[in-house]
Amino acid sequence: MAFSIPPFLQFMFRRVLQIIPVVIAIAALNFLLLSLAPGDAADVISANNGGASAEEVQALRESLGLDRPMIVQFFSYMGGVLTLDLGQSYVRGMPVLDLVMSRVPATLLLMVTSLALAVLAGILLGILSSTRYGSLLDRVMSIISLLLYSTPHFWLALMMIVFFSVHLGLLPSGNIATIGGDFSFLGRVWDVFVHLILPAVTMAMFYIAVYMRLMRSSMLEVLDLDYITAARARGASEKKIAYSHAARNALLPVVTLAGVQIGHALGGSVLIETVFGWPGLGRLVYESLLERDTNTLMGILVVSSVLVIVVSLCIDLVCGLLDPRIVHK
Amino acid sequence: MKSARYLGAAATLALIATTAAQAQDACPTKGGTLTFSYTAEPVALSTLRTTAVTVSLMAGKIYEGLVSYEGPEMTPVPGLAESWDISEDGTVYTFHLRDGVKWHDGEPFTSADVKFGIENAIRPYHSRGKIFFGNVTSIETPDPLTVIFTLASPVEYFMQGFQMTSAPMLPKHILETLDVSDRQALINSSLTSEPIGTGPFKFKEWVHGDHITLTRNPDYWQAGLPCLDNIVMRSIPDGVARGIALENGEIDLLPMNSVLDSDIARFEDMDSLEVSMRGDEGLGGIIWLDVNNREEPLSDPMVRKAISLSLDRETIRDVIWYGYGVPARGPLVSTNPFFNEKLPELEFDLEKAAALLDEAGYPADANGHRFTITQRALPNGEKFIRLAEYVRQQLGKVGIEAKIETSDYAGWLKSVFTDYNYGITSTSTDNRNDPTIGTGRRFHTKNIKVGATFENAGAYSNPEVDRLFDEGAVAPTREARKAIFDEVQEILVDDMPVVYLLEIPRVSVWNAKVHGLITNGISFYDNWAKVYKEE
Amino acid sequence: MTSLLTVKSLCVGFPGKRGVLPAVEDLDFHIAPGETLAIVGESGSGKSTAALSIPGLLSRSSRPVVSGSVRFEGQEMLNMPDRKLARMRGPDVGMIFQDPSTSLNPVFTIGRQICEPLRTHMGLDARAAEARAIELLELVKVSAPEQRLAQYPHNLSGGMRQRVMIAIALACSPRLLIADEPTTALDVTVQAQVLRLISGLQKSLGMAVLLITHDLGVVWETADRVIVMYAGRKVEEGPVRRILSQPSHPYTEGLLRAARKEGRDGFLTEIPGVVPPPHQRPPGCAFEPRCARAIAACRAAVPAIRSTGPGQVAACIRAEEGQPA
Ligand SMILES: Nc1ncnc2c1ncn2[C@@H]1O[C@H](COP(=O)(O)OP(=O)(O)O)[C@@H](O)[C@H]1O
Ligand code: SF4
Ligand SMILES: [Mg+2]
Repeated sequence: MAFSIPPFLQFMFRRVLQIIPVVIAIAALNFLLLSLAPGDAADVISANNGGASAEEVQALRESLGLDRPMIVQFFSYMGGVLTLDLGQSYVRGMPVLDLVMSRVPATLLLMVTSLALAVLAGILLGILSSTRYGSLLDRVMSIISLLLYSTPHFWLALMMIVFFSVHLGLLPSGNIATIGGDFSFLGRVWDVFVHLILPAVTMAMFYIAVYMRLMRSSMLEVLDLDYITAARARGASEKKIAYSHAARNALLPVVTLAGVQIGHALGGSVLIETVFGWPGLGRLVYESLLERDTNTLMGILVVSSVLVIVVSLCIDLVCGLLDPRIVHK
Repeated sequence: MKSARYLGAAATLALIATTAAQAQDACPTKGGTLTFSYTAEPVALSTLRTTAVTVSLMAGKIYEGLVSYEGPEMTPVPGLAESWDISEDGTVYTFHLRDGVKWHDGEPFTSADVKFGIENAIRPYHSRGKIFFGNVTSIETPDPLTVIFTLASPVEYFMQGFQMTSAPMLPKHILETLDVSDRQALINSSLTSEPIGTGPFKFKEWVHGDHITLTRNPDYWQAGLPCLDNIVMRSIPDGVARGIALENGEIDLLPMNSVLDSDIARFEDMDSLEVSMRGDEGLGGIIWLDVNNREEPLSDPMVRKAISLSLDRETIRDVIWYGYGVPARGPLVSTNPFFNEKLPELEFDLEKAAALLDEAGYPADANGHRFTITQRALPNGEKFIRLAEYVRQQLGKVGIEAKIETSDYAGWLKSVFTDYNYGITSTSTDNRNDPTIGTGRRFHTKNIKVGATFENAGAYSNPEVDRLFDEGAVAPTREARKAIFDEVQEILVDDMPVVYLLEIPRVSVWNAKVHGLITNGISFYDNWAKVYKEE
Repeated sequence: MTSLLTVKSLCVGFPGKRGVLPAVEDLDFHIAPGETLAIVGESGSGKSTAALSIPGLLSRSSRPVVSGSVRFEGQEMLNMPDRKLARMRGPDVGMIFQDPSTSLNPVFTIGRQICEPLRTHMGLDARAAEARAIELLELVKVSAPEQRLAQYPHNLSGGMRQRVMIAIALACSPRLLIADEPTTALDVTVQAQVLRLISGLQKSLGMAVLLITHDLGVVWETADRVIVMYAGRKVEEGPVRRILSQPSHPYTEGLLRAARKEGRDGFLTEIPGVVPPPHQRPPGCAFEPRCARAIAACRAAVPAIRSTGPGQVAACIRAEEGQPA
């Protein structure tokens, strides 16, 4: 009896197969760029140590394997990746996989929360704006979204801290949890949630503006389609038409964009993580880049590629749920 | 100026151990948590891997050196070693260890730990191991509480080698479980990630990228200490957010330049905060322009002096360094015990500079232009960029075009120390408290090596200077060494192989409720046993 | 009053760059309970605009300007608040659209869309609504109705979709069904089935039908009375038999001749030219540029509606002069 794989798994499998060469190409390109940048981890490590003799720097370089030709380093690295060995961090000495995975949950939490928040709020505000098309509310929201969109993250983040944390004393200004806090499981969840609010909301602000504008125009387009008139003709209320009939259809481009922006959000989180002292990947990227910690950078790249793939598969799933036509395409 | 008198090691011989009662007095309040932030989180918790500031800040509370140090001059005082004797000829050091000291895991601390750790980890792998222990021919342990170091020749600064950042005492019973022949294995081991030391604070947890918690060692050998219950290093990578957290009382301390320069003036006006430049005299931070002595015309001392004459150090301090710092007079900072008090202040005189350049044979052309050099800037923040701008502007006034090239830190290191692709560059360096350790390597001919970092990149070579540094290293008495280094300083000012700019003490800010932070020349690396926090 | 729906002086304009462009002007008609009124005319005559303005379904984004009066059982429907109007859509007025492929929401199941009016208007719970939905699908002759409920519009053929649309429109047993070219987008073979279905249901349910079409054959088979529209105006109205046998208006004549000749909808080879869009309408009779019988006076003023026979009216100054051979 032939074993048959469900179509969705086949589809996922194909997606992953398609993405592997892309990831390898990105990895190779990054490796090349990193090798072209002047200076290496041995220089930085010795300098951070207050300086070192030529022999010591060379010994360090050899012990890190940085004295080998670039191409050899690359293939030995990729060989490791295939066996799930991402090597050791040059600067931190930990296995890269441990180092990166210790940061992944925080980044995922921040990214997923803020994107979800942004998508949700953006959608609701977009619907609201589209149903009041041309009204004062619509125009005010347009202006606010433009402001949010063009406000530097950095400034916004600091203002949030100053207002909610310093001025009102409502929320903690940074970190992921109360240090030394002794909590029950639920207490810990609540504690992390409280710490998550400011960074997630700050990060969401920018995306809210994007999604709101997209949702609004998508809604306006859908609201003019025949099936909306048809729904109205059978007596559906305006609320139901906007939030159910039109929104469900207008959502697709927004969700698709959110999927595309996962990578963007990963990049944007560097700043937010820096200001809020959030222990995520973003900060590690920045530090590793300055330290020329190639192994760590490559590890982050590989892990985040996997993350992006997983997330975009989830987005595909969501799109499939939103629009039944997609599954059959 | 502070007195630079150095207390000879012999003078400490008779010092008696601090009693428990005294220790109690040292803690007006007990308990509490001191939370601090620095610019980044450490890459390890032992200086065995790196002596980077981040690491030294944490490691110094967990691991201790064989002796302790007091005052800005870093006078050795009893610590893990209760007392010590130094032979007449200065080649045999006998340490008498304190009885009853325990590692954080309960094992006793003995002479075997001292010998094993220095021989198998510190000397071969610690970045400062060879400076202090390279000359040691044997380490003997006649009994568990006695360690005898025998040196091939006298090393006058040997007692400085036991600082917690330079030679942390490491547990033999853990080292034995590791492959000590493999440097990587050792520096990546639990020694650097879950340290077991003898210090007043024990490692508790490290949430990577978020915080590190140390907690009091209840069995610390100084009964009643430490005063604090916990020390937390919280990661706040952004400078503005760090300032806010300090102001807001969420953290208690921003040590060693981790405060934004633009915040300092405001914090100085606040009663709730203490702003201080004390406590890092043992490091002796100084900035200068490294000059590539290989290249015409910078190989000409007259040209280097002309550059020095073109720069107004008070302007640099007041306009760029927010008023902090002291105009440098030579390679050593004025708080260094070996500083030559007779050195004059370095002049600022553009006309003299121009005249000197004419004399050196670099006349100005019709446009007032003499020659072009490449200038790099230490990639360490805004100030060094502004300094480069200032240097470019001033040199322009005397006809030298100093083109600015920028890069990130790794790129800068490569350009300056490997490719020598620079004419001048700002740099920041520490004297440490002995010229043999911190200064000689920047000017000695033997330190001209491609790829060496923070050594003699400029390829300055003067046999007289080499000779004096060599003699100064082995001269048996403090007085003899001082005389030698006084002479070196005069030559190094006269030749101006680099252009000395500013002594820059590190600024630290802390909550006024915190007391006892300033203990010696590397206070923030010290163990903070007596630091306490008012309720 | 025996009239179910009374439309008086209905004017609909769409704001454009050159001001409000009239799509429907000064339209009067009425429909009696159970009656079938057909509106015919070429594409662009304003049939859909007139039909959609009855239950207030004109595209909102084009900001239509509507005036006049639309009374359903004496109740004024123009400017009625949304909520109240929504309550009439379904139980009072049902509607079927031209293109079944775009009139069903692609992301909802058929079942959900049929159940929607049942649940909003008739207060049925999910189970009862589903049972009724199955009955409705049987009524419109959809095969395997139980399975259809879980299907999505893209799973159905065009004819099936239109049947579903009819089922939805009939769900609350409306007293007036507006069918805007219900067969135009369908295959020829399916067209007849759908029309037969509508007229069959009309008879059994006793509802009035406003049938919009440009197929005179369809009119002949199903309608009681006919309105002919041209360029936003009613140009002729009367009982089917009279209109088809003795048209008064040259435009109606043209339509009939074309239908006889080609039996195909769309182009009128008999009448050269097309319906002028609202901003290009000539003064006087809008049909004048295409009219073989036009005289100078036709351009002077919009011809008034006048009686031309029993129950028959037309808007042509030369209407009573009889038809050419
Ligand atoms: N939403 C709208 N916005 C602007 N103009 C419209 C709109 N709907 C219809 N029109 C115009 O009104 C006129 C009549 O169109 P329509 O009612 O669709 O005619 P028919 O249904 O008889 O083909 C046409 O000229 C058309 O361009
Ligand atoms: S009024 Fe004149 S132009 Fe218009 S239809 Fe009658 S005859 Fe033709
Ligand atoms: Mg139409």
